[in-house]
Amino acid sequence: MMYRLPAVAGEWIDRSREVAFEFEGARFTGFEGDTISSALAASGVMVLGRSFKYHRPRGIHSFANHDANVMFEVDGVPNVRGDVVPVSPGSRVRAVNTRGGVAGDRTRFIEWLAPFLPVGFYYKAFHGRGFPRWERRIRALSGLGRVRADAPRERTAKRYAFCDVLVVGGGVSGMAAALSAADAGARVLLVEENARLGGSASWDKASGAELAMLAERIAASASIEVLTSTFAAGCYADRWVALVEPARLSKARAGAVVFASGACEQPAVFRNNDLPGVMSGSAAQRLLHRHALAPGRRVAILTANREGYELAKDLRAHGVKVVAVLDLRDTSGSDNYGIGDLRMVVGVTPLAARAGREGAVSGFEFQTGDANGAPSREHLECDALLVSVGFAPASQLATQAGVSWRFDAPRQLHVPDKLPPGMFVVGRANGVYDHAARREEGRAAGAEAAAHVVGAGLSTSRPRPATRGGIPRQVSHPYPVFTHSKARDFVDLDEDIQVKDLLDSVQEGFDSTELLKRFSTLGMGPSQGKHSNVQGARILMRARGASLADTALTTQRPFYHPVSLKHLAGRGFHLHRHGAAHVRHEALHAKWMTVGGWQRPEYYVQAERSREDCIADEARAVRESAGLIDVSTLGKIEIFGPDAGAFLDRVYTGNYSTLRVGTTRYGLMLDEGGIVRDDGVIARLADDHYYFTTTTSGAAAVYRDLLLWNTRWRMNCALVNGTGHRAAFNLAGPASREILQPLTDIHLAEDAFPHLGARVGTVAGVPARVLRAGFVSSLGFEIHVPFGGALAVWDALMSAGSHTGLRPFGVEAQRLLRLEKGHAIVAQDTDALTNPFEAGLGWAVRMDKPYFVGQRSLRIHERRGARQRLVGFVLEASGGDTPRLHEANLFISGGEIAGRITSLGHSATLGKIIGMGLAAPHLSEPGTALDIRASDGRMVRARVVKTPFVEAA
Amino acid sequence: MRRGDLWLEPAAAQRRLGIKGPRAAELLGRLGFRVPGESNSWAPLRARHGDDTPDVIARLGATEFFIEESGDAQGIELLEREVSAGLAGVYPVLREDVALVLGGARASHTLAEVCNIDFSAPAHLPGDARKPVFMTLMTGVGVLVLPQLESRGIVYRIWCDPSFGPYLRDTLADIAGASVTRTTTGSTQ
Repeated sequence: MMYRLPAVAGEWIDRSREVAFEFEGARFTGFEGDTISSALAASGVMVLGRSFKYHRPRGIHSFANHDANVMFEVDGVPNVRGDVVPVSPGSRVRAVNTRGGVAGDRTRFIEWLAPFLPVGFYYKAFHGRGFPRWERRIRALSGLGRVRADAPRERTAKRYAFCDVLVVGGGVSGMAAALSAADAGARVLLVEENARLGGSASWDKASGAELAMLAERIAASASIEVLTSTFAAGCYADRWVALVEPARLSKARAGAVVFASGACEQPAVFRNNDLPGVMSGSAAQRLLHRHALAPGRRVAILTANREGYELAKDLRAHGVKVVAVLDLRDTSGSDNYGIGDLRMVVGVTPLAARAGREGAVSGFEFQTGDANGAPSREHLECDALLVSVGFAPASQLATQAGVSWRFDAPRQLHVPDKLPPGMFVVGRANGVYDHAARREEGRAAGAEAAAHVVGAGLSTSRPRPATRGGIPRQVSHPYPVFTHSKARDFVDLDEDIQVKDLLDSVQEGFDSTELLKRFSTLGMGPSQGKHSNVQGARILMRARGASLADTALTTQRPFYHPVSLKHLAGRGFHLHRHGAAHVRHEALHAKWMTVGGWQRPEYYVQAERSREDCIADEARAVRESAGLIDVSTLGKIEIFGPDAGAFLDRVYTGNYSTLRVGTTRYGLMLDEGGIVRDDGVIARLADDHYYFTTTTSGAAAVYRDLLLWNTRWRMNCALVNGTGHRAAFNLAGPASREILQPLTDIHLAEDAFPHLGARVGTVAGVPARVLRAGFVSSLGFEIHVPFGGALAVWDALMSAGSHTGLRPFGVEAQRLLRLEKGHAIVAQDTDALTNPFEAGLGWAVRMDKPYFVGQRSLRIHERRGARQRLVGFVLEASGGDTPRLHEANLFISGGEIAGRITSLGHSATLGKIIGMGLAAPHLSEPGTALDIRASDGRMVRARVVKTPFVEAA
Repeated sequence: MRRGDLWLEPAAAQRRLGIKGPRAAELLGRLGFRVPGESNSWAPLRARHGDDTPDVIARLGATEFFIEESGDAQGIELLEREVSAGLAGVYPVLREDVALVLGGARASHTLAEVCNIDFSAPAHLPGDARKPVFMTLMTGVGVLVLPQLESRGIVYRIWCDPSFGPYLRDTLADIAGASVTRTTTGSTQ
């Protein structure tokens, strides 16, 4: 059982500040600076969680942000990592994945079903219809906490962060790298996942006071920004790195990156190696030096490297009783690394850990050979078994950054092989375990990284030798796997994967690391294989009679560490645009709709009138008197220069170089495939000056392509996008001329300003461009003014028209009015396959021109013939029992789909339901009967008619 | 909006105009304006103006300029007259922008949450020899940003399409952690 020691030099806890909290309904206390796990451990709680599959009791294993079996629900927030998250006063903590609490978990019976749950169980058993039902049951019995659907949204901040050199990892090599890079003039961002800098150097005696000195220099440096409790979750192209802070996501862009990410200590595989109290040696040292915790009262150490002996000395120096150091190696003839009179046993073969009454480890059985080679067994009483048999580099991020790795057999480690420019790997991640060497390596890499950024010469990133002189020492045992006939020899604690699971997978043919991972789920748990991938690969390769050098480890994609959804969702930007007259529409009770990012009035709400009635009233006003609609959302582009007309001739399907000044012409734009892309009205304001509109949603993309084409074609013209800088209103209806004339210096008489004319003048004293438009009515004026003058113009028009019955009208009335006029709306009445001949827009295409965008494809379409045609139709009956139709309802001919409705509306002028749709060519002749299938499956008869539906509106 | 070490305010009423075309630089020089030599840089509008002047001219590209002038804006009026006379190779650009000024010690932190330009980079800080302007996206909106060194420190003058003005202003204020009183949509002219 763990217990709190007297003060340990450099401990992270503040013993003067007690923190009370609740765990599983009972009250506990820790100190400020404790994590949830350390606070519970200090109170003697060993069983902190239950395993994912078998619900076995689990405790602290790595204490390195990877304890996937020790995750808690804290005040309703699931999957909080107890090994790194500080305990907070008054918090309510529960273990996840239990029924009835962690101590008496009722679902622990699942372990006894293990023989019926072989590897690949899901794949084999649940094919077919039964799967969803089984899936729900399995989900109820396993998993990692519950998501609260009613949890409040946290708008976690996101930001960009910039630096010359990003250092990932705040151990001695990372700190040295940060300082030397800063000394070389670089702006440095130093990221450390723990609450304080130091890494493994925190318990390395060799570091001594040096660590404090490094930390002081870093704190004093104005060039180094330090982010603690922050992990780098993914590395992307161009040295973008995702940094996850407790309450912020930073997208960091670095000139160079130094990966000082350290190494993950790897477990030994033997029976019951998952019991609470069995933990990595480095976990014990983290507990000791950060939280002044002894791992137990009788501690055994299972080791295969020097680190295990250093651990023994460290524990004993702090008064912890170490009962034995058990070495897997046969080290007869070598020294005992200075452990003095501590019992040392070599040539150990683990048999099993034994559990005590409370589920935690109480003893360890092992076997040794005597001098004659005869095996002897021993049971060692212990309440903590610390395992230090090897390491694996924390290579995930560096791999994502393009670093390749090779297996170094003498050290039994993967080490960097090739590094992209600007990437550096140092310290334990580079296979360097000596303290002084790590510091020196970090210092050199920091300087090189800074030089890389400023281009001062040393820009090559290269793997460094593990030691400076001498033979690299082995830190990892080549095969610390000791299979037991009764299993429970866990390779992956996240997913409860045992040795036999992997061997069975290989037997079934899943004999590569990638296949093995997917079939067995090895490395697919929350710790993403940090403790299991290497040992799993060792087992795989031994089963295949090969070595670890013969295979690559699995792909390590971002995120290499789980990231909460609140970080990914976070604060979002939802663009919206307001026209100049927005406040007027609001005052008129506009019902808003979003079109192409703009807030537009769908219609204006009238008290005690239905939506349909409001729209009908607005349309009626346009037909009988006048209406005013805000069309500021239209794209508004100008083109200047001697080649302006020729440029438009190449972009649009019509002729514009011959357009007379003061007139407009419909403009139809195709894509390269000859498909209708956009349309608008093009006005010639001067010989070298055109002004034209685009659709609302197409404006930005059209302008972007115009710029591209202008760059490619190198014509003598210049484009200006004035979409947001100009407002536009369409004053439409028979009374429009009467309303507008008193407000403008433009002569509006029919002979002076005929249909399709364009004039420049003033309206209500504001400089204006006025186009004779006929989109919704035969008589109409589209008035374009600078944004700043728009309100004055709107007010003047509304005032001038008040005696005529002028009404503002919205998008829905406009759709109906243009439908009556038979005008198609691009992207509503056309789709991504519609060419202009099919849309009835062939009249706007001048195929005799030398060139326009899409012309070549259009010739092919022309030869091939139409596959559909846009037709107008009138319903033969409506009301009563006739089912209601909707846009996108299908035309049916001979039992087959023969088209669909694209526009539909009730014309008060005609007293009928009218519509347009894309129909098979054989249905396009006026008079043809159209059978339309309503949403409820019933059929409705319509008749194809010529458009416009309303001639003289 | 003013909040200790961060503030966001609408720019004082000023006039602005854009011009572009192959002879735009020539015309500006002839009218006595200072013409920034490099694209994406700015200069005080006239030689008599200091670096902290509100009257600025920015070169947005090889042949494109943005001018903002305070007071009676005689320079812009003169320029408008010249351009409207139909001078070949010079074309007017209507600029009805919403203009904001962001300043204070925490301004760069706010900018880091809305824009991927590193405004703290030494090469991007305003100085005697450096006067960069940036055409970039901020909260997804196309903006022109001009960092300027004033007596109260570095301020960031931001212009955007007026239809995005309320959205940009409210979003910046929200991120800065303060609310602003809604004002009428539109330019500050």
